[in-house]
Amino acid sequence: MILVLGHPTLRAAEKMQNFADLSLEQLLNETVTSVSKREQRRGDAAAAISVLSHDDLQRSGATTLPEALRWVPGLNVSAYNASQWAISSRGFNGIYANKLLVLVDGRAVYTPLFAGVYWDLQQTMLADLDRIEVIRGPGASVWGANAVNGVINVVSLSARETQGGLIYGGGGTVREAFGGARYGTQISSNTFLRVFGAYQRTDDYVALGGARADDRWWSGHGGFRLDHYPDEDSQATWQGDFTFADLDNHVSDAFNVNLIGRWKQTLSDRSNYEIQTYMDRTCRDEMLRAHSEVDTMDLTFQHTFGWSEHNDVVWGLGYRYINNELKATTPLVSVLDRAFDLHLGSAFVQNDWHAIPDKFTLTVGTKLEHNDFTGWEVQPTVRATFKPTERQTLWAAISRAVRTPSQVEAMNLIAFPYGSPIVGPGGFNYVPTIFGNPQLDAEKLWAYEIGCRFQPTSRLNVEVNAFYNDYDDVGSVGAITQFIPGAPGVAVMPFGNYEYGYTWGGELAITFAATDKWRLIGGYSLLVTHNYSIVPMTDPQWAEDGAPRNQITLRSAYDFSSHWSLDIQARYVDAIRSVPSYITADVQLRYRPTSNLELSLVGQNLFDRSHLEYRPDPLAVVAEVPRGFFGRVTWKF
Amino acid sequence: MTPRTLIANGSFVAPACFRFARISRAGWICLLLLGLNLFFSYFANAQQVSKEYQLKAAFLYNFTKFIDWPTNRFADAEAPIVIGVLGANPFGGELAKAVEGRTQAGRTFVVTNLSSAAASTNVHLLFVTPAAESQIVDHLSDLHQAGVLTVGETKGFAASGGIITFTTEADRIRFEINLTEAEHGNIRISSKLLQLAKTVRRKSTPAPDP
Repeated sequence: MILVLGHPTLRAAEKMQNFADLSLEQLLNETVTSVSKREQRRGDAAAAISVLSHDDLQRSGATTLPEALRWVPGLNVSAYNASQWAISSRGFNGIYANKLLVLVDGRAVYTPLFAGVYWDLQQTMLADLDRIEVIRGPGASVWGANAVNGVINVVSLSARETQGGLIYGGGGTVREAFGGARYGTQISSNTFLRVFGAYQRTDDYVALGGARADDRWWSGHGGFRLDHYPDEDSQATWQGDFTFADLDNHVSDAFNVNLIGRWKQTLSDRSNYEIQTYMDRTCRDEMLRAHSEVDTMDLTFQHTFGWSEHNDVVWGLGYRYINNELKATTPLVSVLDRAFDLHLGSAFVQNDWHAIPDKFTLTVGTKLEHNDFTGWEVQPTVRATFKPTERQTLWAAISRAVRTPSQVEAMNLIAFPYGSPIVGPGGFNYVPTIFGNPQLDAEKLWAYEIGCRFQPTSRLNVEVNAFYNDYDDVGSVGAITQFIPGAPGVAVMPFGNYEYGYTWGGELAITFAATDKWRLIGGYSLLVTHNYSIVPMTDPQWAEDGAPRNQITLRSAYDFSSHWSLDIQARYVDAIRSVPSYITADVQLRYRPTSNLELSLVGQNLFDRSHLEYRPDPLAVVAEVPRGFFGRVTWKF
Repeated sequence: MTPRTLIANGSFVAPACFRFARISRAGWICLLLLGLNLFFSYFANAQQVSKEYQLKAAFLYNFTKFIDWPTNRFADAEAPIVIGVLGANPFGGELAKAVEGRTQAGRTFVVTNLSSAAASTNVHLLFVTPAAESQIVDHLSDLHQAGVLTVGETKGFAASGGIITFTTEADRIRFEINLTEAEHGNIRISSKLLQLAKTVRRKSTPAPDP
């Protein structure tokens, strides 16, 4: 099937025309790719979307993805320790923030084993990223399960856009040393390639008593991307990379290698399809948990077409195969099942009805998914967009999303101790131990959202969103179902759908271009969580206290001249359980003596010697984030 | 003492994750199909140029209608307009095809591929590919003084003072003009072209991003 679809030569020949016959005005109206049709509409999207552009990424001074994500209004980004992060939007944050889906160039990096994202393995080269799109709120009707509270989409530049060489390097106090290189070359008139490699080493954070946390780590990353444009309507992409991370001062390590192939084909103005396949192998050797090897094979197909003057449909199919192997690394965590595999099938369809073209659009869609644990899951959405004028957009949405249990939660894979021993039947000691639960159901969300974007003047852009999220069957642990005698005994604590609750809040983002050289961006987010449990012994407050109620960010982007620029971001984050509120800031001064050379000085987390950003968790060691400085040189040729 | 420090003090643990991928059979088949697809499409269409560059070739031809070079740039009234491409030619044959058989004020066109900045002073319109930018940025103002209209397609090119820079906006091609640089070489750009430009700069400093 793929081979047949891949041959657009005949059709393209029919469409050949001599553009030189067109006037300049007509040329200005021609679209370059047509594949971005759907992307174009994102500005009018009925969702709370923020985009970090290539320029924003350069201005952030960030060296890693999580650092860059601190610049997204409404996202809660908390450093757990030097290499681990708790990142989520609209609540339920944690070391395994399991309700946020993350994709890097179309590849899901959300781990199905533990549920959540290993940020230490997401070492993209920020200089070659096109943008990071962040959707706050559910995106499950298209993206599928686990896109409950948000979706992060990391998109790299094509090889055509990254021609030539780029070398960067630097170092400092916390980001001790880093460097990387990329070279992009044109293989033929319509084929482009880039290869790249990068390295970074991060020093210890600060342990709670003030000593070194012993969590220093380094990572290496490299890969390639090949983009081939057989004709004006087609794009083939072939990319792959590997990442190796040596964690916690040589105690643990992790490895990822992946290979992605993608074919985008435009059929007409309103019709295109995309086929993508990837393979991914993620291996983690964690001394506190277990050794895991996860192989993923994923195939997706997506087709967009207009079936009447006012209606556009996008539909797609997906299949994912996951193969796992587990091994024990510590006697504290027992591995009960060593090898197993899983299948995930999905289909989605979405219809955009442009009832009044350019003014009112109604979107109705659903995802239908089948997984090995909870069977069929339906995740529908209804969204409406109203654009009274070019400069105002109002939208509202109602959606259902599910979080499917991870393999650790839903299978009898491993048993790990959670908390200190308790006294049980017969007066003996029992170690509370978490077990998987094959009866576990999916977590459900009904989300109600409204939002508005408007531009009162050409220099001011305002975005306001509000949401009410209703959660049911939220998974947690705490209830003991069985005491197994021994020395010590085991108190069986299976995962269960014990909790339910609701959250409400909103986000506000204001961008003000004070002058052509100075831009100010303010962000505020509010989150109120109420969580309850249907059984005693669980801790519903744990989820309530997992994300700050108020967050404020203020950002200034100032260009003194074409050579000098100064970027500042300050942020206030409310207290969460056992973590005081904090205010801190990042600053970057950049100097570009020529168009090829850039020198920058960066200060991160400036306002205190170190501060805690997240609460201690029985599953990981938390450390304070220290103030850091580094310098960086970037040379393009 | 946490397990972390126990193990850290106990022994060095070698990376256990450094074994290469064991890929399932279905995965290999999948990749193979995609690879074949790429392979065939590559050879079937090796000479095809992306629509973007077909359009840009047409733009270059159209620009010449609205530009007056100083008369001393031409040997005589019949001398052709020379369009140079610096760096690997992204147009394939499209640029030559766009101007083939056409004339502008009685002048025919010549398209030439250039490999160095030094050879670029003889052309009238110079298209600079992104890969070749680094070798030309320091010579841009000299070229402009010599009456060469430079056209590029990156922000860096605009920032370095290139006269016309292509950009892409909402999937459509736009261009910006640096008028001051054009005036340095007595290159006259008609007001119609200036009107169609996304931005017209009158100083050599770049405008910041909106």
